[in-house]
Amino acid sequence: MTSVVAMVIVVALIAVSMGVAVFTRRSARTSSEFYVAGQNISWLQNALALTGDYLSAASFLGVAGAIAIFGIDKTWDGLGYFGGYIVLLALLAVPLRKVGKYTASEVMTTRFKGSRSLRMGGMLGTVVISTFYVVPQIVGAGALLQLLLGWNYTFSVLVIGVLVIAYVTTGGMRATTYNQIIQGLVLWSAMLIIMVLMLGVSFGFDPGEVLSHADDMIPPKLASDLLVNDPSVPDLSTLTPDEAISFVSSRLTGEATALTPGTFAPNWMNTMALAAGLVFGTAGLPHVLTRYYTVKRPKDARTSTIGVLLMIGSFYIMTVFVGLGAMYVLYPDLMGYFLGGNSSIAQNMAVPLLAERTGGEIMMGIAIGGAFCAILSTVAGLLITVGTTVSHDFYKEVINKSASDRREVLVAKLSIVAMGALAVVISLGMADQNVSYLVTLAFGMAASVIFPVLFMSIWWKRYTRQGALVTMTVGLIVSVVFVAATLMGVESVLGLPVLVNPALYSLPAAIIAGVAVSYLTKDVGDVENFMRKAHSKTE
Amino acid sequence: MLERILNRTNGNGNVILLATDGSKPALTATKRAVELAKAMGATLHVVCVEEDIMSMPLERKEELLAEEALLGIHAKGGEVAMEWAARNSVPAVLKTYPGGPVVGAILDYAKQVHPTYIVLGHAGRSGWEKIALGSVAEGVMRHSPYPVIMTRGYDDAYIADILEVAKTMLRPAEELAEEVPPIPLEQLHIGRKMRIASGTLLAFLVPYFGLGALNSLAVGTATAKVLGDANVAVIWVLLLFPIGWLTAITFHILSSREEAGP
Repeated sequence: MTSVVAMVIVVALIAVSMGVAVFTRRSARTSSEFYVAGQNISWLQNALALTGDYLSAASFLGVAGAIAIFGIDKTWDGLGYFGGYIVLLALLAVPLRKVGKYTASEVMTTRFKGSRSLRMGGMLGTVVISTFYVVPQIVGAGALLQLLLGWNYTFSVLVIGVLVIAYVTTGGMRATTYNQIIQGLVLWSAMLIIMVLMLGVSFGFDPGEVLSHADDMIPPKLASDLLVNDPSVPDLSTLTPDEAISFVSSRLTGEATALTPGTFAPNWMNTMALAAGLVFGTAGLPHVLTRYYTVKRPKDARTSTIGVLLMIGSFYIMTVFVGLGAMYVLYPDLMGYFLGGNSSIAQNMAVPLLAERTGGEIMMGIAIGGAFCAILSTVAGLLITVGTTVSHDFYKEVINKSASDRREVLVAKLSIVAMGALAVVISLGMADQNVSYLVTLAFGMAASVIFPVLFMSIWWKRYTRQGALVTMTVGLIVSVVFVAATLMGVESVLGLPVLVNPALYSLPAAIIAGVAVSYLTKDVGDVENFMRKAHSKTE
Repeated sequence: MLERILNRTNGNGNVILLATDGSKPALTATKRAVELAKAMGATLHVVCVEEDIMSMPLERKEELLAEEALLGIHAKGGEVAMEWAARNSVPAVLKTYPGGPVVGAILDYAKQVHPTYIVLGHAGRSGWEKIALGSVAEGVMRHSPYPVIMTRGYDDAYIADILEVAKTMLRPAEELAEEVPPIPLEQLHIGRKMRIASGTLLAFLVPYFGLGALNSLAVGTATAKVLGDANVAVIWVLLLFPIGWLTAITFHILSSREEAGP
């Protein structure tokens, strides 16, 4: 699987990542070209940086890969990731920009002044959620590079870890932001190129053809589950896609096709739980929230969110066609992986394999480059968010109130190195394990610990200091209890069925507890000034 | 030399264009520019460019620290230059650009006022810093169709007096919190804004959760073919993204109207 072209592309991307701060900063200063249209584009930059930040390898390889083996049901996840930004836009984006400067905790302490417990709660929430989010990224990256480039797992994890820590801490200046902008563009364009090429080579540039083929295919996951013990099935990987598809369809007449909804969807409660976790979790992810403090004008917070919606919405539409197209083009291979017991490879490899099949080694290199960018930018965004909150909310607030800026930056960098190193060590210990529950936990906690307290602080005048604390605590307890129950295989807690994501319980519980305690207590904080700041007409 | 300088004119009266960022090297240039304008009887045009580059708070802080030694002081360059010109009875005009690229903005302004000279300070970045950050002075020098006078570095004794002025006009280390007028909370229309926000949420979440309900509870309807081989569920999925976009844009329009309203 190791390809020279892929290797060259990855090495080139590493070089660009390290050198990017130099060029962007320099040209901003010394370019002799000046266009009025070039002014005030911070919303566009922010939209691209958010896209890079947000779309991880799970989106680049995972979503299209899952559609390739499960069919249309797996579009649900992409829609949830997309919908999260509608929640952000409507409820948080502009007030966050108006009130916050550094971290999510600051929004709460602007209203409930001096509340050390809220500040600490926000900081710990950010660190824990980011850890749960960053470890699966690195584990996935290790497995991916192992598979794609033939590097061993330990080496792959170390390369990613060292590279990101290096450019976030030593590249300094604007390395993180500009890398995210470039990586966001690279991964979006990579998906576009793969889709266009696939449509051209296999479907005569007709997206309708993709749907038409999809309607004739039984998803490889379903087909292989039904055929796995059938000794009369020949080696499908030697057949052409059409032969393999018609063989399977003739054996399994009347089964659901790739376009049949609900084949792999859990019952409706689990479907809703997943949706709630994705939508409200996105709106509480610390590294996403941090990006809202970087835009110049409050209005830009809104326009950049619309930019992200356009970027990731079009991205997920592409994954629908790429996923279904990959199912057709790779049908014999995917069936081969499944019947041969390599199901996890099937999902991660669908996009790179499709790229190779339709455009040779160069396209495969582009696909791997896209995935690589997706991993780097997400990990970098998480690390810099942790560094900021540890130095700003913990060091400067608790350890050394009179710390100089120089000290604060140093502490931030040290915590980035520590966090990065910790994540690498945990990831090395978790090789070959399924760590997707950590992502579920990250989204569940973000939806129940961070989102509700921000939402209520910003919108509800009657909200109290104690109410805010209880919201965070209840959100944390309920989400952890239900994730633990999932891990231990418990089917119900207090009569409530355990679902795929805790958010359906933990979010309402956090809000109800916050409301109840707020009505029983009186300290509404600096509500007048806070509300004026958050909702004034200054754009 | 001075005679040659004094005899240059663009026909509309002499104009000296000063580019400043309020650092010590720029204060040196400011002092020189004012001296020159006074000697030539020229008008001083002061141009300031804000670098409109987005960065995380941590990145911003780090950058300020890195440049601290080189720049010496972060003053409001434009205001200092205007004050210094006034003290020396030199007529002056201030122009501020809200965004870069810096060299491009300076040259853009130069083309409008046709200066006899452009005066600016060279911070003295060298080695890696110059590669990484670039030099505005050198950029202007290279591209300017007008003569450029470049002062290099700074001498604390020479700028001692203008530095005193600059110290009273420091740029805030961080953006100061915007002053919000003490208007009554009712006038913030939080309720109305909440209704717009809720409408936006429902416009997307109802069709999104609706799709989940359809797929779980009414598979027959979901699988009914409507467009070629595409069934209701597929069309619904593909439509949800444009629905999201429309919802977002409508929200933006409504919110902008709300902000602009009385």
